[in-house]
Amino acid sequence: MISNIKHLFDFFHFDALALIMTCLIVFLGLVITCFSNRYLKFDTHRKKFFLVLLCLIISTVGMVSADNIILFLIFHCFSNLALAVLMVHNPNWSAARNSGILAAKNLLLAPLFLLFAFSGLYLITQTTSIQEIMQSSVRSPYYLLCIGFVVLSAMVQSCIFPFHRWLMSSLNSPTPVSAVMHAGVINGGGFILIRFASLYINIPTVLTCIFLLGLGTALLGTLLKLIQHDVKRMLACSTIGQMGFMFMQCGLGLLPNAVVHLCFHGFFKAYLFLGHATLALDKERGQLGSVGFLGFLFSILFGILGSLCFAFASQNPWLSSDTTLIQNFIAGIFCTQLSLCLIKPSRIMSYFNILLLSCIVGYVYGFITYIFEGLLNSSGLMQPQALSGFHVLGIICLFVPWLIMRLPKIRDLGKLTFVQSLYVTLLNHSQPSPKTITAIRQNYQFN
Amino acid sequence: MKQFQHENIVTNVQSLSSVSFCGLIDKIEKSWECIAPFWRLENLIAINPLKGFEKMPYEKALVEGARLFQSKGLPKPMSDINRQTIKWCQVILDRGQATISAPMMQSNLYETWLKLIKFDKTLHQKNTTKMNWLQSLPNDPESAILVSLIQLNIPQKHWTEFLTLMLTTLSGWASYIQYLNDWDKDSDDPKKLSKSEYLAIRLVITYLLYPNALELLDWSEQSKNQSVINEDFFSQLEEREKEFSNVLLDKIVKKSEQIQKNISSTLPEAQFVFCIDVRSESVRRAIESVGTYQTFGMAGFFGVPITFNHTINQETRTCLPVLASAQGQVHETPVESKPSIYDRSKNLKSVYKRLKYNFATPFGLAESTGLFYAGLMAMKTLFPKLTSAISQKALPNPDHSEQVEMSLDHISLEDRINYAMSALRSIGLTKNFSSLVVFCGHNSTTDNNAFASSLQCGACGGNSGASNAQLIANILNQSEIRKALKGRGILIPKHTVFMGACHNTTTDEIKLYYDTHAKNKEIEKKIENIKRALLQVQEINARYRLAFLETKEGASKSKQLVKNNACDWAQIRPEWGLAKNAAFIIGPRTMTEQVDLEGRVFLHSYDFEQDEDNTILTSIMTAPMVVAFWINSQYFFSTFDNVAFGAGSKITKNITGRMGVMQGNASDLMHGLPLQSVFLNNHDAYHELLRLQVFVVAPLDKVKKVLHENPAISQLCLNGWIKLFCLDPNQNKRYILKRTGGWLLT
Repeated sequence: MISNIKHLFDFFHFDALALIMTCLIVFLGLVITCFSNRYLKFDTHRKKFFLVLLCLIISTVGMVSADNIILFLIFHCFSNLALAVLMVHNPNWSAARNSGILAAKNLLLAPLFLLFAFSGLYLITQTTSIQEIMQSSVRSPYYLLCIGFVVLSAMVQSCIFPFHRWLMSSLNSPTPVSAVMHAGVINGGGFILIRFASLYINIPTVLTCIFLLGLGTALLGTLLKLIQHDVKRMLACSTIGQMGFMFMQCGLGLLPNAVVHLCFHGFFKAYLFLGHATLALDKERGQLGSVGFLGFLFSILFGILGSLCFAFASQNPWLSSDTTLIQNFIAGIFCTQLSLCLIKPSRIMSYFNILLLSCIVGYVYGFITYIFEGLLNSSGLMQPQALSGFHVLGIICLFVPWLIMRLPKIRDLGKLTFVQSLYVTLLNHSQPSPKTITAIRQNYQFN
Repeated sequence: MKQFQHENIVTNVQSLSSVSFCGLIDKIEKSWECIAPFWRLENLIAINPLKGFEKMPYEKALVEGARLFQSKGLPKPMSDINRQTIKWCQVILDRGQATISAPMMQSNLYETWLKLIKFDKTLHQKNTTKMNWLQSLPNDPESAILVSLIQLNIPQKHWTEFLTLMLTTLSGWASYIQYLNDWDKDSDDPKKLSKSEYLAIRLVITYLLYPNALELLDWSEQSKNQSVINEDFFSQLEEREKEFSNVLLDKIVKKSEQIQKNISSTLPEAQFVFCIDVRSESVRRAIESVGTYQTFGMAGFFGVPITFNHTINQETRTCLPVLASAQGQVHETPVESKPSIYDRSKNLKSVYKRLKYNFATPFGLAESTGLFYAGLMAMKTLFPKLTSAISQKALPNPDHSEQVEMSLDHISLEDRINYAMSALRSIGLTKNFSSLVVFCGHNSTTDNNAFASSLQCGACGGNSGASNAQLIANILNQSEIRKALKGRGILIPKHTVFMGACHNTTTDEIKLYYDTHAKNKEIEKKIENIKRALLQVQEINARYRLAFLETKEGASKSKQLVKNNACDWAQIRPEWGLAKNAAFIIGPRTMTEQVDLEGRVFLHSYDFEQDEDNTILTSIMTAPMVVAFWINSQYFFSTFDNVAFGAGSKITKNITGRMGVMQGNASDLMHGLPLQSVFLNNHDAYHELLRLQVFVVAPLDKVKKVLHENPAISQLCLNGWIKLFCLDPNQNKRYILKRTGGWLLT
């Protein structure tokens, strides 16, 4: 009997990654369950909701800790299906039903791709243990194909271009379900990439592909987010952008940073979904006044110093020749924007205080990254790559749009036919799938 | 394949006589008559969703409303048309959600829209004839409507009907346009889409996607025959109303018999003036039960139609009923908080938004603040009260129930005298002043609630009534006002002090606003007494309400539970609001004192003996009674059909353009109250379907005179929207107004 139980444990593998993910899932699961307990107090479907939510939490924990490819697939399928069921919530409302079906179709594609990958890996390595597969040194010509399927699966799970559109049709679900989805299940793609990192971490071409896919999605997601007119779709598009960024980090070989992003973006987005009414009705618009050239220079300077502190705290060189440079750049642009907002229009703080704040923020940010690097160190997940032209392209692609947003007369750009046409194209691109829109009011159902 | 004869049509339009063009403009106006306005979320005002049918008999209006707003089975292509309309309405009517707004969409909205849709492949499907047609469309919306109507082959005699259908098949967005054009007081808004512009957009889309839209008229004809409302509905409604009024009248009559036995003549310790709101009823009962306090009811803006300008956050609030117009502006400054504190929270929010709504920076924002949000999320969910206390300390937000200082210089002396006079006269408080008179406005505090303003004071335009209460008290404390009032026959004793207060309807806390520096021992002692009494009141009323809220009853914990409701971000139903409202009593409080009216009755104090020329009764019946009727009908119809007239469930709501609610991915703008405001769960209604029954305690002749002089009001009663009773104290008889116009003794 005892040996049987011991045998059962052989199918699981609790490493640092699994532990971090389990903590994340359990924490979010508890908070969202607590929240929903009041939020859905008067809802008829609440029993079903809590039951499926529990299944979702258990199967997700199972997935992140499984060491057996079959178990992994089963848990993966199960948690994705549970999410689709949660999304429908009220099956009598046809739009919700349709978005559930659409989600299920997409979400089942991820385990399907993984099935292909696992079958191949099993044939190559003759083992069902994920750890053994990772450590195996057997190589075969089909190996790259398997990696391709793993990446595809991660892309579908995390709504990476071109699999991102269904996410914008997913908002018929109750608010807590959106929180679960954006904080938890969608992050599964990042987890897959990190879990199976040792398959591809030494193949620069794969990394570059992941980086570019991530970069494109990050840009597209952010752009879509900025043109949305309702709060939930804005949050959904924002998730697309953030998932893209997480892919970029994976592609840079900075997997601990991707774990940081996965967890913290999860918290961030869950909070925003749960509190979306406050968010949507807040009167503060956050419009940026002009800071002048000198102010701009100063904020860039403070940003650079902030980024230095970030590099110092995360114990990476600042002007490094590897991909940690991009993470430093992200910290730098964040600190620059922070300083820029504080310098003007009302001169909230003195220049010295802004400088200090920028440095502190940079340091804290770097320190958090450092801790996660330390936690995941033994897994060999920190593999910064040598900088290439693609990476420089990435930096430019992140920097230029930010700079354009600073242009003083940005509104005049709207007079260009090209901009108008682009706007309408993006607007149409971000429309939910027709069947998931409640176009006829009488078709809405609450029970 | 339909022929697109656009060139001919356009020349035809130009050569069309101005007579027929004028005819179209009238028809456009007429088509909008059936649409009731819908206010933005920041101040949701209750209104009858069938406002356009108030001139019809009630039964007919409901049938007509069912045909236009509740009919199912719309022709399929209407889904596409609605989807496109929703998409563009979201774009055009956005009030700041999108960081990058549509190109050039700052003014000339329809014209800009025409320019943009040339790029919209989902509209013209790259069909060259359609694209040419778009190219040839005139820039003024009326001509575009004309062109579209002609091209759709709508017979001229059906134009009004067709335009009406264009509006009612997407009634929520149309309601918002109605509000923007006819009710929004901010007339300079450049983003005001006119009624014709909206119709033009709708028709152009219809023409592009559904050239056979003529079928819509057949659909409408068919839906006339299938009645949604069954015959029993009205008879059952009558029965329920009769039962309710019988019970109510019984209670009141029993009470008035008691009064005649023991009339006390001692002065009360303090007098409280509350809003007519049904939530005031149980509080007043509680106050009266804890001491010798007298209470009055009047519209919660206390007769001061003023715009308040918060000197610190520069916010302007129009605190008056939508039927009135602002007559003055007052600057208010919070007594306790310093400006710098508000600045801090404002700046922090603004920095956060600029980091979030940007390129490249949101990634860093999520990573560097994620841990903080994890903590905040857990704290807010597990310890809502503690978290809200901490955050209010760290980053205070003005909640508009604070004590404020205000300068009255901007209101002329004459106006102030008038406000003071009419406030006191309207409730019959012109003599026997006690040493403390408290004007008690009300507000509601809820967290993360899109419908928060629907719980605020309706008489203050969906705002808190605290400032109005403080203002009227300040006015009445001025010596020059007292002097002037004396000259007009209202003698206020020198020792009488007026005071503002605010009743929080979520927590039942009542804040008193008084000058702490004033050294008047006697008053100070009285205030202390009242404060103690109010704590008791909070306990009593919180327990009373919690029973209805279906919260776990903890007799000793009721105060804590309601406080939790007020700051819990997961709380979907922080209070019941005005649900179950059913009647309006215009008369002295002595008739209803100590009677348990179950928080279902609006109470307006009225003493007919002080109203010789009928002006007070007229103003009560034309303003507060109409507001009460609107509130009643909003609750009625949101319960009657929460899909057609309500906002649906809060758990799947989505907020668009910072102004309104949609369901899920996208939908019609959901006007009305959410499910959770009127339903116990997804199946059982909490609010009871009852029309407003108004009981006026006055001689029959006076009521008749008011009706005679105000045809709009008598029309509402005769059409059956309101049931009017007259309790004649002189003859000690009760009458009910028949639909035919006569008065029936009951």
